Amino acid sequence: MGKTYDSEKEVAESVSNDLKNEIFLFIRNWQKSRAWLMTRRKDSREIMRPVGSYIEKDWSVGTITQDLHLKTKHVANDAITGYLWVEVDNPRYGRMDFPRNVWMQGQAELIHDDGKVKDFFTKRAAATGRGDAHPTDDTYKRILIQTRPQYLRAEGFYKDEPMRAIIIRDFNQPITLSDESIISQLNDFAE
Amino acid sequence: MGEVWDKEKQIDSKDSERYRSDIYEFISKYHSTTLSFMMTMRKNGQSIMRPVSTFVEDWQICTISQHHQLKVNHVKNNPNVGYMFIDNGGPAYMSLGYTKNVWIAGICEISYDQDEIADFFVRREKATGQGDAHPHDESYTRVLFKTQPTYLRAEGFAEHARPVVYKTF
Repeated sequence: MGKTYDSEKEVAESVSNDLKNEIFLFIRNWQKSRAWLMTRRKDSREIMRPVGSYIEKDWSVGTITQDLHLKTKHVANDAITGYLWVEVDNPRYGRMDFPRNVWMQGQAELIHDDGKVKDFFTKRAAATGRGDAHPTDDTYKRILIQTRPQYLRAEGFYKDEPMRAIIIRDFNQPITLSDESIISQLNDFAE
Repeated sequence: MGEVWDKEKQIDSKDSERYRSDIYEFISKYHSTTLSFMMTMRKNGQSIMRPVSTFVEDWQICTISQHHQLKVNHVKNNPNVGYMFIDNGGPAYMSLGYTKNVWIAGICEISYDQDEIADFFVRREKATGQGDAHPHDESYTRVLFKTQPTYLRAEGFAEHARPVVYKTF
């Protein structure tokens, strides 16, 4: 292929593997990246909206919703979901001057169990300092949308050729960074 | 409904019209303060997104691609596409730090007509100062995605986190 395509094509699997930790930290760093959740409507057309997200070391991603939100109905009807994360306030990459970004497509499950939802908040608070920040009025019924990824595309992470896409298709291996190391690295990013 | 839902429910369709010009202006900011990402469908029916440039004319969203890019094959197989427009640095409209954003679903047509594409670059340059900025190596054949929106959801334009939804353009 030509020069242009070469500068944008998928990187080798070995490079993707080397960048897994960095991509995980990028998604985990909720203060530096914004998240949008894609769900599918009854007519199977996609729709996206901004959400909070928290990624666990097994690559599953959680978002809290309410029972009366449309996205909850969407996931109940169709388990396919996707997340877009975009970095804010950091240097751009490539000739198009984009911020680093990650797309993840997966299958979601709705978790209604109050105990499991509480566990999610506990884990998130320990990892990020952000526990249950949702309103406490009686009408707010917390539900967890838990997405298990099937496909991930990241751009801006391969330093030599940042426009080349990093694709991850295998999520069987969890992230092996220790909790302390993750927190330490996220703190370094914040400084 | 409860307090939370009231702050997030859709704006009434009559009231939503007053935001139309602001939303159009937002998605028309060519690659400056507004960033855009395009969703296409893979053969297995699953979606994928990547950053792109966009130029909007009368609600039609245009993006230039190369003939051998994966997204061209995706659109050939399935013309259903989506665009996410996000505010790069504007003020947050709620405590979680969200900034203005617009989701558009639509139907995409691919143009291979090099005269039409040349005309597109002339119009874009006149409107934005950005003409044909794509590489000129011989391997690069320009194609033009033209997407007609069918559904739009915008957040950050009305009060709180209440979305504005349009189905007619």
